[in-house]
Amino acid sequence: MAEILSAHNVVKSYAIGDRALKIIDGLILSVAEGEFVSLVGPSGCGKTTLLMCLSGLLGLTEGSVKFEGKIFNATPPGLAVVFQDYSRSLLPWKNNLDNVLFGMRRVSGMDERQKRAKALELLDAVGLGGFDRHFPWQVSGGMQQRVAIARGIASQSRLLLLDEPLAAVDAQTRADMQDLLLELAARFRQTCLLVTHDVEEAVYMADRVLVLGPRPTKVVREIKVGLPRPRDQLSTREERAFLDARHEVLSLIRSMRKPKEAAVK
Amino acid sequence: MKRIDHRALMVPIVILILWQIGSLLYATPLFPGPVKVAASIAKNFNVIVSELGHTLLRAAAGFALACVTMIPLGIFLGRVRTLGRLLEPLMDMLATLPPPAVIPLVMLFAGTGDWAKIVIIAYAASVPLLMNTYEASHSIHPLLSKVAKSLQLSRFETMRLIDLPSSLPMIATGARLAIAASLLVSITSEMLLATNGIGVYLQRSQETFKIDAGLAGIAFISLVGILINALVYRLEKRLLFWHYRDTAPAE
Amino acid sequence: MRHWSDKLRVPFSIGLVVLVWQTVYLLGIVSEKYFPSIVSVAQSFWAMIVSGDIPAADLKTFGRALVGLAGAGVLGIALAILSDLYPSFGKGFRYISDVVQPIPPAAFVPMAVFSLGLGIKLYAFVIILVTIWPPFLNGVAALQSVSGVQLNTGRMLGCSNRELLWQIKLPAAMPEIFAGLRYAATISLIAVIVSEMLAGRDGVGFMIFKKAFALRTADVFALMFVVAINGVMLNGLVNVLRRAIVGWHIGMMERSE
Repeated sequence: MAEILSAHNVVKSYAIGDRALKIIDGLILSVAEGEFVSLVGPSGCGKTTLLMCLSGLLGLTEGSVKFEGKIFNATPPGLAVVFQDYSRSLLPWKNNLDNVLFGMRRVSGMDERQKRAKALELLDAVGLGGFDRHFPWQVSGGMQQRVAIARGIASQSRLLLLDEPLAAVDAQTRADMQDLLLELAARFRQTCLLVTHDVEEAVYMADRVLVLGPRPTKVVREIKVGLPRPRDQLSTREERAFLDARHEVLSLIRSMRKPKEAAVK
Repeated sequence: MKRIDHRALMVPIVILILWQIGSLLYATPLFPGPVKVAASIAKNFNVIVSELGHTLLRAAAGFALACVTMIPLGIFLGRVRTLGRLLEPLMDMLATLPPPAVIPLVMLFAGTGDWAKIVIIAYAASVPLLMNTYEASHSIHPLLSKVAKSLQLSRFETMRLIDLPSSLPMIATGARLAIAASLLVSITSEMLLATNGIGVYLQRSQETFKIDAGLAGIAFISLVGILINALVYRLEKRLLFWHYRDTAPAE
Repeated sequence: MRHWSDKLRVPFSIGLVVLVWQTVYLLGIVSEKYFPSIVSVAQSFWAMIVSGDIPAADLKTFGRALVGLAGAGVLGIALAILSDLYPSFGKGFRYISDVVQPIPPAAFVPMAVFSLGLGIKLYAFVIILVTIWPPFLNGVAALQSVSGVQLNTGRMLGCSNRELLWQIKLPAAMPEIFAGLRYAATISLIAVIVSEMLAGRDGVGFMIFKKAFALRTADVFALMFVVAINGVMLNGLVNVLRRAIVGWHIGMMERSE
């Protein structure tokens, strides 16, 4: 399968006073078209910074990132980010439909009417049919994140970068939305790169889990998840392969904790 | 000290230069340039300071009068909720009446002396103080009221120990507006009810065509305004440290 | 939350004013020359309406305040946008605002009379110089504090810097700018009244002063009532605009209560 996203020796550091603080150091990764890849790592390892670098929202200090074989310095068309903070990422002065339409601002070859029809279809696909005239702040958190996902897909994305999209929703909603995401990824042919701190979520969703090391971070291990699709919240989570992968990731992350910190926790 | 942005300094410098060029082009004493105004500051320093002293004294007296009456009243109306709600439209009505419009009226009652001016200043300072104090004490977190009940505080103790301290940040905002209003009305009332003060000094400068001296006076008003603002800011940071710590972004 | 007292609030407040007023009047605490009954205030009000004095004066006063507010609002927002586009200009202009802002409108009037005359130029100068700051300062602060997530959302969807300003930052800053405009409405009215009192030849401010010197107390009270109505109308107009432009924000705040 063709490579859709690749990162070569990415380094990102911030200047703090006259010292440089390194967040990412020599990160290499590659995502193939149609894959679902999860990125997990110990807390504070720089996951969000990494995702910002991969999406072109943050400049790199060294190295390069390519989307569909091309280097970019701003988010390229075909790549969409779903942010964790849905309440801020949706524009509160636009209703849900207009928020999705805002996602289509770079889409060409469609007139306004076609765009509207497409946006309504997407709202329907994420289970928000009939909520197009509501404002984001009039619907629940889970529904807001669905609008944000619809907006991402509306931009005719081929790659979705998901930055802990479900971290702020309650547990029941989270399970529903995990399945919704998997379904949408299949239906709209989205390659997905999911950043999460929830190890079970990472394994449940992914074909491949990439484990990040402590700061300055890079990919320290790749774990292939040999679970059949479609996944199921009950049976998948009880399978041997799931439990093995979960065990491997968890023990790896636990080993990264500094001894002192581990003692406190 | 923060590093000074040299490009930013260009903005006031360019404006000063344009002003100077303009005044040279017109060459009339009625449109003096910054150089002339600076010279005038040196010449009139003593007069301006003494006149400004009168103005500030009255402003301070009016402001103090407003604080002493309006902060307790605001707390009281916030705690005795039904009365407060009933009087809300009255407070709104008073807030729409601009203080300078009251000046001629007070002149009728109290003449043109110090007290007339102090009363007007107090009225002007009262509006933001009362509104903010009432708003703060009225919207106090219900949990704090429960705390007061559980400690078996009397109504008066609740107002003094719970409502007043927790309303202070908003009262401080009201006080800042009230200080600005006091200064504004103090100067305006002098210009309308002439006796002494910086407002009278400005009038006199106009009548004798000494615009440069008048602008020197304005420069001092501005300086005093800046100093008072800086002082209030410092005081607020020191006295309300708990509030600012609360609202500092969590790490 | 509705409360039983909600319906009674306005009548209660008005009733209280009338009651206190008439009590003071009837007890004769203050001489009638200085404190007329509400009836005679209402009569003067009506007489001045019929004679056309109030409509003529208020058309001028309200017009000046409204035009001044609109001008200062547009200018203030434009300067805030300019400050956001060119941070060095923004910082430099802050020096100017720090210096000019503490100066009351009354102080400008005598200094500007000779250069600008007693006409429209004087009013424009004084009103704009004092009214521009709330929308400007609120605008600068609000444009600066637009959430990083909102900006990243715009960038992620391919907005250029200019598009970010128009499509994300400005709409996000609008609620705070309107808070500034509301405050500016009050200041604009004050500036007009003061200018009319000090250097005017017409308008409500000029009339108040003239009547006060003639000891026409009932007229003075009636005119103060006119000023208050002007304040309410100006505020109402800003509110209408606010509902039209940032209605979403009002809905959002009501919901979070």
